[in-house]
Amino acid sequence: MGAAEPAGVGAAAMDGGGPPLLEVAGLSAGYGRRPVLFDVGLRVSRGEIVALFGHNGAGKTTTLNAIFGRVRPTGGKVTFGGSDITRAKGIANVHRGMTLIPAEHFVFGDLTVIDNLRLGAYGERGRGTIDARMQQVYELFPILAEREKQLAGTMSGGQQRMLSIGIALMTGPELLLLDEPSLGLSPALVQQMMEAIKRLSREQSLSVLMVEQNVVQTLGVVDRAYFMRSGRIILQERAEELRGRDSYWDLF
Amino acid sequence: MQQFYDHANVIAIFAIYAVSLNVLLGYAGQLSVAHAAFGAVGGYVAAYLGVNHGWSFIPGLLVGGAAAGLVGVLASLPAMYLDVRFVILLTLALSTAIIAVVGAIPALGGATGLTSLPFPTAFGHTLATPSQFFTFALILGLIVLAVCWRMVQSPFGRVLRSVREDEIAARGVGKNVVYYKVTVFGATAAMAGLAGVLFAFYNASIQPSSFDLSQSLEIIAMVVIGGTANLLGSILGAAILVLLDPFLQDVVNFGPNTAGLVRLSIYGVLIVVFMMALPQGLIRERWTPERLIGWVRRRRGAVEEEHAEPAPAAAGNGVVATPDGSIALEATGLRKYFGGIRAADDLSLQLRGGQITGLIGPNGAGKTTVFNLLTRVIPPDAGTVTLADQTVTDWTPNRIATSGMSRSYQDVRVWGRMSVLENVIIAIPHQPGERLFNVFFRPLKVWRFEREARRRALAHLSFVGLADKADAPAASLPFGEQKLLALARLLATEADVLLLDEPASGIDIDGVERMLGLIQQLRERGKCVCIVEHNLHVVERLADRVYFMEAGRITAEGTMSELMKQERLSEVYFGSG
Repeated sequence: MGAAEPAGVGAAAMDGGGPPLLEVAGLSAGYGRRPVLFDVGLRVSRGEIVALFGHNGAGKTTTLNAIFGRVRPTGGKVTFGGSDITRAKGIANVHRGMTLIPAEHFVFGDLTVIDNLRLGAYGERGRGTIDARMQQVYELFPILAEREKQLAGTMSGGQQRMLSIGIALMTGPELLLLDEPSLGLSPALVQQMMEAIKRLSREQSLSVLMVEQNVVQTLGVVDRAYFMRSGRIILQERAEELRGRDSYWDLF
Repeated sequence: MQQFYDHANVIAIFAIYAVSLNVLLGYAGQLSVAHAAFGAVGGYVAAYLGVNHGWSFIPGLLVGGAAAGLVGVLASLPAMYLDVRFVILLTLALSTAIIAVVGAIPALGGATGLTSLPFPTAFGHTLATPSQFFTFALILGLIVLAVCWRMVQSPFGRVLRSVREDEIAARGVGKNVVYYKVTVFGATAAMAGLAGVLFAFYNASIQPSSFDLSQSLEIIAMVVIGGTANLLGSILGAAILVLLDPFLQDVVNFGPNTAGLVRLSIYGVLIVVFMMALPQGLIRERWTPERLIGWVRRRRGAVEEEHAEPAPAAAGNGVVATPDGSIALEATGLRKYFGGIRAADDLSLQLRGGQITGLIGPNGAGKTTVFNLLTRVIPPDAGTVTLADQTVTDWTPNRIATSGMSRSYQDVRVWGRMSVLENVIIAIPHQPGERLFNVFFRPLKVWRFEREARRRALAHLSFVGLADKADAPAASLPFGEQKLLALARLLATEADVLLLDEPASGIDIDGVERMLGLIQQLRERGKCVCIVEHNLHVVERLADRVYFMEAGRITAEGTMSELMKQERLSEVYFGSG
């Protein structure tokens, strides 16, 4: 197995140099007495798409949850847009501009597509802002515009997945935390989803931190990737360098 | 003085109820709301025999207790596989049914019950006055206390507590949970029956209302307030609640009706307050006289030396002989469908002694299912499992677990409120003290084996490096040490085939190194180890051979480096572009 670099080496140099939107340092967290994360450090710059890979149970989802405030960190620091949000709750983070899309489905099945999207903008007062965001979502996922009046629960899994990203975008986020967006989607849909994420990031300088299983496909859209093993970051590298590898076995 | 004996008798009777319920609730973790109803069974049987057939007190007492015990055993059979919430519902229905039935039978006097019971006599003494009766109630109470004490302090009681803490893990180390539940239900119901007989003869009459649900709840309150899993606490709880009524009437000067209502409110408030502030009750589980003596001894500096030899980790129970490289376990054509889902399909594998075999594959490939099929926790639809030349396919999981193959769990499943040492001792197979008959009638044999078991358990603990924490409650250990404890417990089953589910997950780097070192030592000692692990780095370091699983099938095998060369497997793991 190739030697894995320690976490955080040269991180500042690699991510385009600007001040990071999200910075995580020395983060540890777990469930009950069971620790899952040990000294996790990572950063995401404005407009950057970053992937988080690793074996099952490596702590990828827990990292997202700990950043977002769904799981209480037991140590370390999370900084978002310059402020310390280590102890902040999810709801406060949404207002700050960070949204988590969990891997399990989350749409309101008994509501129409448009009502689901409106709920995403809950708390947003300006009529114009809401409409503008909804237009963006529809441009990104035209199928949602077509099915505006359909009950969300009656749509296919892939469409519900898009809707859940749409709901998240309605909150007007600067950073999306995406947990396995491709879960349960056909390869064609995954490709479509990845393209949409890429466009969002380019056009609106949205930052994305995404957990994915499909390393090869994800490396096609991300700028940078972290690899986790057993609760630790073992490597971070630019996507183009990772794409050049002939195997990823030593990282799992 | 008469009034003193009056209270003392009622306290003694309720102490018998509460102490026996505590064995069931506090130790075995089974919440029964029919405890007073078991008392009704005993009381009515003895009263009926006394009134109509002229039976004297003592034979009536014994037969009444036995009848209640029998009903308890019958009640335990459907309760066996139920979650605690449904045990509550089941016993609630049972309680209502028993009270309705005794109230409906004309021969038992309907709602007015039976009156003018004969004066109780015992061994030539009449128990006519409260003070005479108290002598008997006290003696019977002490006997019940002694029996319960012996029961919960024995290896039998230790297994009860492990069932309370985590039943799956108790089954996993080969305990026949059915036997324990039936026995403890029957024994405690019989003791409730004795209390019911005492109650009936003390009042010289018996009515259904003395045994209804509110009585059962009062007994539960006594146990909760006194402290679950502490028998002395239940006596204290019984005394407090029995004396509450006279206290409210005579000291606070409430009328009898007001006192009754206030008392009920106080029960309610006390239960809520105790559940929230003192969930372990007034006297905690670990506060036992034995512990106090140990504490005093240590204070005086008389440290008892336990000599632990590090050898027995290597000693199997001889059922599975696995000299280097020979096949210890062979599974052929295992199949298991859940509806249309193929959890396992034509699955064959071989595990060899002195080797570590890895089982890898994407999430949902069925790796943990393989463990469940091998240990027969899930019975396979087809296929055979051979353990050292014996076909074990149709053995019970208990028999397999005590005959040479045992597994660990991803989420450790240690028994949190028990000590580290107890966690390991329980796993030692074939303990004579696990049978109640031996506990009471062959104490010497039980005691001798217990010393030996303790010695072996300490040896396993020193193998994993936890000997100095033997007395700590398992839940107080950090997760990494709980994993080591789970390994020691696994070794204590003396199995030669060890199935480890994610041994390296959830522990820090130093912990992982320690764990890997131990697993390698087990291989050197000739154990046959199979690991399921997502961290491929760990698999590569440990495994001599690896099976690759996808969708319930084994699709490749070889060394880790051979597997890593296969293009298709890398697509399964990392996807394709």
